[in-house]
Amino acid sequence: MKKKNTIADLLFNNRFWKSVFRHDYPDNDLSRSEAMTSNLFLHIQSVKVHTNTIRPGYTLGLGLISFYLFIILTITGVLLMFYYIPSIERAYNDMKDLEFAVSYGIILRNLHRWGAHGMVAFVFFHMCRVFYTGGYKQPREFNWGIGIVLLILTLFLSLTGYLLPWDQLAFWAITIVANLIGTSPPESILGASLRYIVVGGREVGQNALIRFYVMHVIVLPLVAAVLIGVHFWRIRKDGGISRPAEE
Amino acid sequence: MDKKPEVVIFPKNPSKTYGLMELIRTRSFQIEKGPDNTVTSWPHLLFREMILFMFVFIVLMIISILFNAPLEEQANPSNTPNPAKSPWYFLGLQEMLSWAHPFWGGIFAPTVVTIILILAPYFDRSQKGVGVWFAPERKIANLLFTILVVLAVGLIVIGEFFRGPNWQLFWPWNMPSPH
Amino acid sequence: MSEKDVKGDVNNITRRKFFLFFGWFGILSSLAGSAFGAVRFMFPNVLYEPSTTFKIGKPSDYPPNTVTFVQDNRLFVVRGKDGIEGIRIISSICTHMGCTPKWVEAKNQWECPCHGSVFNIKGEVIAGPAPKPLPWYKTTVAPDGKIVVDSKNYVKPDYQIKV
Ligand code: HEM
Ligand code: FES
Repeated sequence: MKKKNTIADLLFNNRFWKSVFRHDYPDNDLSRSEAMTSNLFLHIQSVKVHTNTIRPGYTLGLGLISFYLFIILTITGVLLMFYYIPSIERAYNDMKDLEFAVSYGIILRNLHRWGAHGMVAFVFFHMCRVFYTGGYKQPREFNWGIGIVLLILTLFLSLTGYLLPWDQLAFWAITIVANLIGTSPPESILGASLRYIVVGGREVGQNALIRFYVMHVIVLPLVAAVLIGVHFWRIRKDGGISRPAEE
Repeated sequence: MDKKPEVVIFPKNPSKTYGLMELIRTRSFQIEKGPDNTVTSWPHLLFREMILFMFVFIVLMIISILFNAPLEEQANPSNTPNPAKSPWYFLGLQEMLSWAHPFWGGIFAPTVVTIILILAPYFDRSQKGVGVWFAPERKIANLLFTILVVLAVGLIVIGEFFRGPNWQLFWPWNMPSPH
Repeated sequence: MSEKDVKGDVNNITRRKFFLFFGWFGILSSLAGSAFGAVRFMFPNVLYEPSTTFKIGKPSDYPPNTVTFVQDNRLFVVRGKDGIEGIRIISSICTHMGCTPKWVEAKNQWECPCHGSVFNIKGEVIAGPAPKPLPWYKTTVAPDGKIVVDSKNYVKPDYQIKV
């Protein structure tokens, strides 16, 4: 390309930019395919997609919305971690500080909380979409199964996060859940040890808080992120989003 | 009519299995659209995805600016709020918990539903109606699933709007205010 | 080595299979061992929880014919109810999901806010999903005159300490 000395030229027509993006701006089919295949994050999607895939009325974007909420939750969650200390003496006060003493803390907390509610709802809607369009059928059975696991993970993520503010809502919701787990039969063996391992003792207290915290900030998000990766990979390997049979 | 002599613009080399057929003015390698009804992911898919992200983020931001997430009093193990409700997505479970031995509503029912859902595609195997919303060929499957959805949502609605102090049933407009 | 040799040499194949089996066995069993260790690790051996045996003041702190909620220890002190004169201690942890039932003097019963279980003055379930009655705790009087409660030891509803 000849130098034209425009600002765009200065930005994009230099060695550095070209070492990162090894193709021209994607305005023809060659560079459009290169744009997809040469990028780690984009290449989980194919170079070309069926027109049904991009029809908003088909997927309603529900799966993508779930994914975006997951991303937003990850980012806001990491930021909240800079102020939140998982101790039963500190946790509640840290939430109050986030609300009143930290710049934009309240916005981050709200984004994280409402995003979490939204994710539960949209993952559920997404599941309904997949069912009502028959998207779970062969060859997508396995991906449907991964989806169910993702739904359960989403619920567990919300639940473990719910305990962290250590307020009345949190404490009693977790007490109920812990005792619920304790009723798995046979109660005196399985139920009792499950409850013990979840609560980290007999009473819902510091041990329970740190356990829920570790699950919430690292174990469950990591598993969910990996499974979301597999979910997307499988969409592609299963031949893209389902569509009506072609005449 | 005179038969015009055929003008050969790109003479074919008989020793080769391929040859130049035609030059057309376009930015694509494809002469016609392929029979597969596809479009390039960039920009058709990616731009839609980016627009959706902006939309999701803006809506969530507006909600977060307008409404504050709840924070009640500090946890107090000796004082149970009345009623003590879990977050809405678990209220269906909590509602079932209040009916019988907690194992049935709290563990057995959800486990069975999960297993049924995971196994559904291995039993429901007809390929008719795939890719169509509410396909008439899938009436029965859709009906069964709808029953499940209505149950799940219905229980949540009961738990959220119809349960008051002591987990008693109230009409939403008669709900005693929590104390 | 000709094809015949490989096929014919029974020992060779057995050895290969043996090592294959042994290799997989080694990998899987070390995984299983680590998994067991990880699960066992998650069960704490030492708990820093309040003792299950504790004192709750003198009998004279609790007037006759009352039910008193003791917040810190999550129990009710029952004195002179149900035709039993002495002091008895009943758990305030709902046997359903662990909420704290409220004593309702007018109805002479406990009502749980979480899922509506109701317990009568004997601790028995008379409504709601609670699977078991509220337990009565074993109680003694220490030499200093204070009530000692052992919340790990359950007793019959008529177990009392005379006042
Ligand atoms: C963390 C949660 C989840 C995320 C982020 C996610 C993401 C996605 C995305 C982005 C798609 C592409 C199509 C679309 O946007 O609708 C998709 C498709 C799909 N999802 Fe999910 N999903 C999640 C949970 C689930 C659940 C709960 C199920 C079902 C139980 C499920 C089953 C499927 C199936 C079968 C497809 C392929 C559908 C088709 O080809 O029509 N996913 N998912
Ligand atoms: S916890 Fe008391 S009724 Fe459920």
